[in-house]
Parts: sequence; structure tokens; C-alpha cells
Amino acid sequence: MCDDKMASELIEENKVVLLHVKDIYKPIRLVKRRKIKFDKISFVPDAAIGLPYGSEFEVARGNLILVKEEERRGEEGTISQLTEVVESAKDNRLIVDDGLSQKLSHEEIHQMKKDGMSGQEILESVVQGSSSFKDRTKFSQEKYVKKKYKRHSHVLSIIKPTTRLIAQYYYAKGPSKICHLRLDMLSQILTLGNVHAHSRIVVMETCQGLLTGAVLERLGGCGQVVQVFFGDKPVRDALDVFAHLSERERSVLLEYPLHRLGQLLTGEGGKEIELQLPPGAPLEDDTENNEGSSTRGEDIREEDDDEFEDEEEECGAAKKRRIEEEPAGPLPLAPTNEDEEKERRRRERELLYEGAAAVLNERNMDGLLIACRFYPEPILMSLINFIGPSRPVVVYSQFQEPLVRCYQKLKESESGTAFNIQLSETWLRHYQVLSGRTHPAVSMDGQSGYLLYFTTISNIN
Amino acid sequence: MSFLKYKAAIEEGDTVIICRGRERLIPVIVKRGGVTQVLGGAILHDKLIGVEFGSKVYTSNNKGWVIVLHPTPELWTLSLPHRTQILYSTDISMITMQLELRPGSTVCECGTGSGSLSHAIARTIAPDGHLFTFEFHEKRSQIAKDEFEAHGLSHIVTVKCSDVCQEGFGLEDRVDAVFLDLPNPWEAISSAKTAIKRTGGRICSFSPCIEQVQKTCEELNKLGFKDIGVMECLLRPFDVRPCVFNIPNMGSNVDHSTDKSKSTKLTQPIASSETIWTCAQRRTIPGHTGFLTFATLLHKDIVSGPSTVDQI
Repeated sequence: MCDDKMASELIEENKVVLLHVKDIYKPIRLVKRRKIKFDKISFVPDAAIGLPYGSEFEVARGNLILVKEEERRGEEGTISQLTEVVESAKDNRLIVDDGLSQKLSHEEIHQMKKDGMSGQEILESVVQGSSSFKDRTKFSQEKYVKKKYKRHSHVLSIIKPTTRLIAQYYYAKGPSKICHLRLDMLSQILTLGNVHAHSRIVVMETCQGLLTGAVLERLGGCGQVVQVFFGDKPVRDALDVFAHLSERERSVLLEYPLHRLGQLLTGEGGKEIELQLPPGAPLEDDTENNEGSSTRGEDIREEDDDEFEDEEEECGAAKKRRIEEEPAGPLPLAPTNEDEEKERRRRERELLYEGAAAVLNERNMDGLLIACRFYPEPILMSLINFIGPSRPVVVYSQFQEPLVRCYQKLKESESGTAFNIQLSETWLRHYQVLSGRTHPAVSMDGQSGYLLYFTTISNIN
Repeated sequence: MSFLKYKAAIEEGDTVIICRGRERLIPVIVKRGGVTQVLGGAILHDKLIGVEFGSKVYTSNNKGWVIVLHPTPELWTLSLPHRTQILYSTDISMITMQLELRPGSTVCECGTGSGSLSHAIARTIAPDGHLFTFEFHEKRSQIAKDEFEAHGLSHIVTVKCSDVCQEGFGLEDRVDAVFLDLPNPWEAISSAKTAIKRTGGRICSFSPCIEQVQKTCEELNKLGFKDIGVMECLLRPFDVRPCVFNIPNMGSNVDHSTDKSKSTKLTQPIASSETIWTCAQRRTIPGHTGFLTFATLLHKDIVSGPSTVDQI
């Protein structure tokens, strides 16, 4: 057996969950009696604990109230309830856009909210307050209710994190921090890389640990992941959101710094290059759009309580907090002085790297996945040396040109280690499916990024 | 032979994928004394045994060569014998991700078809998950069964020959995910709901026609599935190659070449040339595979909609 199955399907305290409000997902750690603020609502999560994931709640007076099955109308139900009873027009000839059709003022609506009226009740008043509602067509009425439902409904649900949702959350929140890695591309990296239990995968990413987490999920605690990283520590903030991964599933993760690859490749042990890192400051490169992509990761077992506590500012604050926490050290063995502590950590890290180096040095890894903001060609050409023959390699980039350079390099390289090199992008289109009104979504995400993939072969001249 | 674990060298009885350049991949079961004809000549199986996967192997006349690869579900998808239309890796990737498959997942698939998706699912849910795959065509289901056996997957795949729309899956509260590739997928959704675990799960329906999607969505909605989403995902491949662009002679004062050494006499119509690696789009690509409809079934304690009783 690979792993002690996905533990509980009930909402637990102290677990990171995803709050789902309207179209937004948000990771939050649930702690009893601790207030959660999100999207203009605030509440304590106590009532949710022990209920099944997926439960829906309404927020009233700072508490969660379970929406019972029979009351649960959802968006669809609300729409049909509010549009079926009223008459409707055949077309829009009577609609005048003068902004005067709504009788309720902002203040009145605000007051209703303050009085603790439910979203449903407010929605009903808003619809009744609209003098032009009956002049709208049926479709237009539905659209109107839908829009108002989004604004006034306080319904939220609590969902168990999975790679699918975590990837969507990061992509929606700040695509630049995950190299614009869209869900369909992430899914292709995992498939084309043949990532599965018992495989040993080399990962080089600057996607906050999203790709690493997804790979760990697909390994199920069997096999090995060596995350090759830039800087002094790998960035793995996203791994905290992969709350469904067990200790065992996380334990297959090793790490090795990029700046020591030279040692492995030339076989010169011992001499280690120390990077000149500016003290205290997190490493950043100059690539555009990577504000907040701290290279200061943290130990995955070291829980950061407040990471998912507040609204969108978490990156900056969490970074600061981590720097403050730095000297504290995660282990109970309190060292007598700071130097000793530093030395102990250094030795620990060396041990970790040695383990990873031993795995890499077999030069028979089962796959290589690259998704980073750096120029990929030299990284690819170095890491490919650790991959066995007849294994998949997948390189993702937001841009096409660097991958073309990889392609060129692979084609020109004397030894010819790559077979059937392919470069592609994907086209992902969502559809609105409604009776009589099915069509592609009006706006689509046009940037998939690019993938280069091939199979390694034995050196042939 | 197992698709689930890489091994170094070829043994008798292994399935290997042989290929040459961009030509079609050929799956071969290695037998002593066996011969496989390729464009460049004949590959003697005896020469394959003991060879490392990923090596170049020459034909008996030493004129041609092939590369022998370790099978993976993706290479299998590109080389398998087609008995039906098959799903390709782009859709398969999306399906695997959206159905939230991982080691240990239990999955229902209907129908098995040529087994392209089945192999990919089996790979992902191994070593302790399980795939129940249903196919109403008896011969196809038997061939699929034999293939899973040969590919070391039979311990995690159960092939059943039955018509799910008529007979249901015959499973209750057992699976994490259901995949439907049927002409009338809506007829199988109630049975799928029964098959999904008490704690909930995901469903996917693959349909080429929008009318099928429409009916499927109505049924999903009626039975209390949430988070219904429809999408299509297309692969756009590029042909990458070096391309030589000539620079015409534009008169003696103008020389746009970056490589001055290549500049020729200024009386020639072509002054010089540049070589650039280009990405060309292909003129004909698959423009439509099918619509993917996904939905979530929440914990059965909190799902509304008519209760589902499956006739088995």
C-alpha cells in the first residue's frame, strides 16, 4: 500500500481549507474562535468543524450558519424562484438606461445588511425595488438576478484543497508568481512527464512550490522528488496549501541547490561554491513581474499559523514574519549560542544535500520537469545528465523563444540525447451551457504558455 | 513487463515501442526469433534482448536503424492499435487533473474503447487504486483485458463487458471519479451517482457534440451535481526548424546583414542571408476532439436532488 488513505472527509480544526465564495477560492487555516476576514465578511469558523467538506454556510452576525439541504436554492434556484412569478417582456424596447429604476438607495441596502438580513431577503427586496424588472426579457431577468445574487449573497462553502483548486487559486491570485502556469499546462507537465508512484523525478521550478506539490500528490508517498532550487532555500509556500498531503507523501521530497550542480557534473566533490547572497534580503532576480516571489522558503513541517489568516497582503507580511522567526530555530534542542545553532543547521542541510546528491548521482532519474523564470537552456542541458535513457523531459515556459533555443541546442548537440522533440501550446475554451443559449464563453484566456517535451535516449553518435 | 516501473534492459516478452524519426511508433512484443519489418529493413528481436531502453538498434542489413523506447501510457497512446476513436494526451491530462486522480483513487470508466485513457488512469492511480472499466463490445473488452495483463496492469484494472446505460455500474459508494465516453452519457449519470463514494467525487463526460453536452448538463443539474463546467482543450503543435531567409540586394548603401562576412558582391540580386530558428504552425491540426464536461458530487449527506436507486 502506498499511503494511509486520504484521512478525513470532514472539516477539521487547524487544517488549511479552501473558502469558496462566489468565484473565488481562498486558503484559510481554521482555528476555533479565531475570526476570519474575507471579501467584506468576517466570521468565526467554529460551526463548520466536524461537517462534511462542501457544506454551504451563510454568514450572519459573525457566525457560520449551515444552509440546510431543503433551503439550499443556490444560484439556479434563486433565479427561477424570482423570475418565474413575474411577467416578462419579449424584447428590450421598454428599457431606458437612466439609472432611476432601482427604488432602494445604497444606504437602505447597506442598512438591511447591517440589520443582519439574509442575502436571500436582500435579493428579494432589490428585485422588488426594480421598477423595470418586469420590462426585461426572461433571459435579461435571469442575468439581472444572477448579477445581484453575486453581490448580495453571503453563501460560502468550505472545500478540501486539491491540486486542481490550488492551481486555480494561484493562477487567479497572481499568475506572475507561478510563471503563468495554467491548470491545463500543469496537467500536461504531469502527464507528459509520466509522473506516477515509484518514479524519481527532478523538478526545477519557480512556481512557489505548486509544481512540486502537484508532483508529490502524484507520487503518493512512493518514489523520490529532487527539487533543484535557486538561492539558499527552495520556495515552497504553496506546499502549505497542499494540506491534504500526509507527512509520508511529503517525505519523498529532497532538495539540491542549483549552484552546486557543477560539483556533481564534474565529479569534483568537496569544494563548494558559496553564493554571495545579500544578507537578510531575499534573493530576487530582475525579471519583470515577480514582486513578492520570495526565495525564502520554509520547512514544510514548520507551520506558519497566520499564513492564511488575513486578506491579500499575506506575501509581504509572511516574508517579514519568517525573517523575524529565523533565529528561533524549529528544534527543541536550545543551543547555547547563535553560531552553534547556525553550524548545526548547516550540517543538517549538508546531510540533506548529500542525500539528494546521491540520488542524482545515479544518473538514472525517471523524469525531468522544468517550469521556471530563468533561461531554461543551460538548466535543461545540465539537469538532463541526471536522467536515465528512454525517460520523459518536459520544459514549460511562459515564452516561446527560450524553448526554441532549447530545441535548437538539443538538435545541435553532438551526442543527440533527445528523441522526438515537440513544442506546443494549448487552447482552452470554456462554454456556457444553458438551454437554448449554449455558446463559448465570451472571454477566454489566450495565454497558455509553451511546452517543450521529448524522450531521452542513450548517447548515440 | 510493467508500464508502472521503468527497467533498464529489454527482456523476452517485453512490450517495446520502436520508432524512427517522426515516423509512426510501433509497439512490439519481443519474442525470440521474432522479426519486425520497419522502413529501413528488418529488426531481429534476438538483437533487442539485453539492449538498454533508449538505444539505437540497427536493422539486419545494417542500413537502417530504430530507437527502442520503454513504453509509457503516452507512447502507448501514440502507438496503440485503434479499435475505436481514442483520447489523446491533451484531453487525458485535463481529465486526470479535473477528476483529481492520484495514487489510491478508484475510478469508473465507460467505455474502454482502445484503452488509451485506461492506461493513463491506471498509471496515475497505481499502486493501490483501482480502475473499473466497462465496454459493451465483447471482443474489444477481451482485447483490452489481454493488454492490461501484458502491460502489468491487471491487478489494478477490472474490465467488464456490459452496457452501463442499461445495467448500471453495479457499484455503490465505491469510486472517487467517473469518466463517461458514451453516445448517451446522460443515461449513465444516475448510476454514476450511486457508484460515487459517500464522501463525494468528480465526474467527467467526454462528448463530441454540443447536444450531448446540453442533455448531460441538464441531468447533472437535476441529480444535484455542483460546479458544472464545460470546456475544450486543444493542442497546437509547432514545427520548429532553422529557416534561411535571403536578404535581397537593396543597393550599395544598404546592407542589413548582421553577419558582414557573409555579404557577397553588391551586384548580386541576393546580398546575403540569415538563418533563424522558426516555429511554424501546422496547416491542418485536429480542430475538435470533444467537449469535456466536469462536475462535483458533494458528500452524499448534503446533496439534494432525487435519491438515486440503481437497478442492477
